[in-house]
Amino acid sequence: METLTTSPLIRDDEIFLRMNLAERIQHILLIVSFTLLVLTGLPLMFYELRLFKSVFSFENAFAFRGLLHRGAAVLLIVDIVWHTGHTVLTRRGRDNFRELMPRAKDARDAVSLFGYNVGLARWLYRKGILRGFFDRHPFWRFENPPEYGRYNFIEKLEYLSVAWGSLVMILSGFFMWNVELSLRIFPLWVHDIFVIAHGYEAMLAFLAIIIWHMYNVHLNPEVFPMSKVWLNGKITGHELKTLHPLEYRKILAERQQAQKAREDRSGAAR
Amino acid sequence: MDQRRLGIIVFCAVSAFASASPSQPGGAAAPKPCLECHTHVSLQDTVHATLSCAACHRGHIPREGDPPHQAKKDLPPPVCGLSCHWEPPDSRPGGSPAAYPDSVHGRAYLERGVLDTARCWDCHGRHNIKPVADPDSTVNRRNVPVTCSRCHEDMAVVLKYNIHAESPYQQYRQSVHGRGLYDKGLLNFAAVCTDCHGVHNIQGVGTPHLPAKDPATCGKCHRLILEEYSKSVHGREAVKGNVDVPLCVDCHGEHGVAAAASPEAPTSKAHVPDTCSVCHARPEIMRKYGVPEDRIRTFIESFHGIAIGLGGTAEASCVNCHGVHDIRPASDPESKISAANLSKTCGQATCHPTMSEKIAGTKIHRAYDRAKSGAPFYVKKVLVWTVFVLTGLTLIFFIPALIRRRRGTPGP
Repeated sequence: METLTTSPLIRDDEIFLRMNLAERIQHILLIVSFTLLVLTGLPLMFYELRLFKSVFSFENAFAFRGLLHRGAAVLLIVDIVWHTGHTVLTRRGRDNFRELMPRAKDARDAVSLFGYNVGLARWLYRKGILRGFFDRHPFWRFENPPEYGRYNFIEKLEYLSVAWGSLVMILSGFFMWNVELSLRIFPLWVHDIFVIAHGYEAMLAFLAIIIWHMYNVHLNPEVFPMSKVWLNGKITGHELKTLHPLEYRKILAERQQAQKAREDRSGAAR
Repeated sequence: MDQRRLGIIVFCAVSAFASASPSQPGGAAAPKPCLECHTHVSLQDTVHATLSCAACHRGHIPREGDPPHQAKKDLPPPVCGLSCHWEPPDSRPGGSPAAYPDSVHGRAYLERGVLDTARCWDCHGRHNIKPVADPDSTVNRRNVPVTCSRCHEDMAVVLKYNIHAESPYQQYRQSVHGRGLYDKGLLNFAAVCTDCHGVHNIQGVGTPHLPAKDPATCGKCHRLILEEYSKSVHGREAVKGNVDVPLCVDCHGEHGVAAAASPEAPTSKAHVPDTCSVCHARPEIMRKYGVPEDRIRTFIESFHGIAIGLGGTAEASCVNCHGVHDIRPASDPESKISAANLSKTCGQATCHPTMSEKIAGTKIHRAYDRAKSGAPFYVKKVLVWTVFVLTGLTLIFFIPALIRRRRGTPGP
């Protein structure tokens, strides 16, 4: 990795706002509703586990589960409506959304990070094996981990999974909630597809959160044991430089340009 | 030998001779010199107050010089039915005493000489025999369960004779019948042992068409249920004597029969699927009658089944759709699940009140594990594979990162 030297224009302890208050509340609402939905929904997927049978031992437990699940669903829908409004109506939201759109670079980043972590190509190159190929295509040497912008490919993947997943879950969940309406519109087998999709999409979302998101914000050595962005919304200039170097360079370039413009103006004034 | 003892012996001998021919009870209570020695015995205020001792203890004629007379074990048992208690065996419900020799107890005693078994005096008492209507009688309705329990709750007896019910009294005490008798005081309405098992004609569990299992026995009290049941798919066969079909006791249990509202009942919401599965999850029975074999499994995997399995109380179990005593095949127009009635059945007030008519004729017990089950099968397959492949790829992707992290090399 080419080390970015600390520029006086961005101090290491300078604070950048990564999530504003609205986004942090949206994120907390998502945590609450998602956790409740998983806890009250997964037992239906793994109904044979003895654990769940003991959880539902108190009176009316199962009816209470349903109530909680639908309550959490409403909370999630409210959260999504708010987030959509935030994304469409605020400049900041639109800006973030644009940054979250997947690009070809994200696929390259994924390959590159994997290749870097495995380190086989690097080792081959040092041993002089396939040197010609690696000299012509330095990308495949995976010498350095990829550099990310405001959102790395994992974060983009998670965001889009949540967006797609919520759409599937809300649609299928709505018809499961209103089974009589569903059966007036669709034959039973279509309703069954809703049920099946609801279950497996839930598994997918659960695994995505457990593996991808937990890794990214907890296990990742740069932030271990936990990134505090979700609480205070802030990252430092140092974190910006190491985690989001492209974003760092962009800000740096903007500031350098502004400084140059100022200098030019003062030069011209003199 | 003193004068008094001699007098007693002579009197007993005379009365033994006198009662060798059938004697009519009645008249003033005869003096009983035997009681001078046998002070713990009293026939006063019993049905046998007018009888002499030798009326039952016949065959024993004390002689002068007997010290004082033969030991008890040589005393022949009384034969109550021979002289007094005789009437045609089926002259009354439960059988007259003359039905005893053909009962499970009678055969054990008379044919195999089992002395542990119930003989007349084990149930009716030895000397202190009261009329059946007397509340103190051991065979009065209120006391029958306790009387039977003296042997049938004794594990030594239960084990020795391989008796199929281990603690019938304890189960009965908690049952609707036991509670009805003891807690609600329904002396004439709550069934006691003899109402189902018979009285003198009690049969063993292996007997074909055992009265205690015969729906007609339950129908003596539960008359309307029996009528309903007799027209059901199960009852029609049961009436013909087919024992493959569930009889009352197969679903409700025997001694512990509990109301469906109590959670431990086999007919409770949570237990109904288990109870039906005793037959409906057995391929050989289902094939014999052409009933699909996967009914229980498809229910357990359905939304209703999952809910019931996790303790749900509002969701439908087998009986909510198929009925209880009136279960009929879907092909029967009167069936709750016939094409004409299905939307009404789904549309019960506490279930899906606005259920569409389109549900009529829809296959409800469905499994999506075969290609011919249509689109849901493929959707499920694709989703299962998606979950596996994505999870697998994720693990492959992260393992090198985790290894690197353990080695302490930084990197996202």
